[in-house]
Amino acid sequence: MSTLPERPRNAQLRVLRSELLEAHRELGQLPARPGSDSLKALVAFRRLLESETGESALRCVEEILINLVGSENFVVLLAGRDNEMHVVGGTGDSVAHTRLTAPTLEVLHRSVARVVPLFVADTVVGALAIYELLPHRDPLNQNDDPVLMLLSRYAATIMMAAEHRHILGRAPMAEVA
Amino acid sequence: MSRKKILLVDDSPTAIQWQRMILENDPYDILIASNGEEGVRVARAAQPDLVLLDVMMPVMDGLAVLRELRSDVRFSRTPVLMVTTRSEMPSVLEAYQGGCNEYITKPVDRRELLTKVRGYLVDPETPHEHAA
Repeated sequence: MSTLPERPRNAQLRVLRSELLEAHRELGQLPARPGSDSLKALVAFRRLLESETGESALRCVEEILINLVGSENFVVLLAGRDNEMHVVGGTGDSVAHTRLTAPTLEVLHRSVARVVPLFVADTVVGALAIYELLPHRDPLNQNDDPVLMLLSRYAATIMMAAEHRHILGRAPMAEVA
Repeated sequence: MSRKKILLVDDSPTAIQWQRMILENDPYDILIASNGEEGVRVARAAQPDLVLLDVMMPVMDGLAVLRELRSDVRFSRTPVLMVTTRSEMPSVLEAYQGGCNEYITKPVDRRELLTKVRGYLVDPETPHEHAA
């Protein structure tokens, strides 16, 4: 993902590491009972945390939206080094359209089913713009909240952490303390 | 009594994990293939009792897999449930004409999948439980 800084500052690494730990803690608390609304979130969480690169984490986000939410028309935006939002992924005709027009938040003024902010800690670093659901899908409802909230809370963290895995994995805690 | 074998064929690991999670509390052995060619290979080797088959896959799509299986006498009666994002009537008709037993749209609903799978795999001598 070319929009990420080549080497995050230590403070950013600390935030990523802390958020990753929080993600693992929350994963451990998700119930795995049959019938639980969180079952899809559990699958989404596990899949995201398996990602070994930023690119595979991004592909995972796309798979989650297709297979667990039911949309094939969405874009994934992340803030770049220029602090502008850039399309980094997505599927459907919205992707081509978004890349050809001004890749800023103005494109989100198109009709959307849902816009999900992507956070790292308490900072918005991107967004998921879901333009259309699959034709047979009911409108988004509270049953979709566990997966969408998970993506909002942790997807960007996991993508960035996976992108800098070689740093986060190697650096002893003392370097980023 | 031997456990029933279910073959999941899908190029999406997320779809596989979701379907697996839905089915894992029932007494099934789950087999996995991540593309159509592997699906045919695993089916021939393992003789599953039921196949959950994604339609849109690279190299060999689900309809081609379905044709391969139905052309093999060993699988002429094996329940094949297509699992797909495509809900348009032409796609549905093509799948049924190809010999599938059911057509399930993504995102897969837990209760729908359990009910349908149990319906095809129920042992007549075992009490049938409703999906929770």
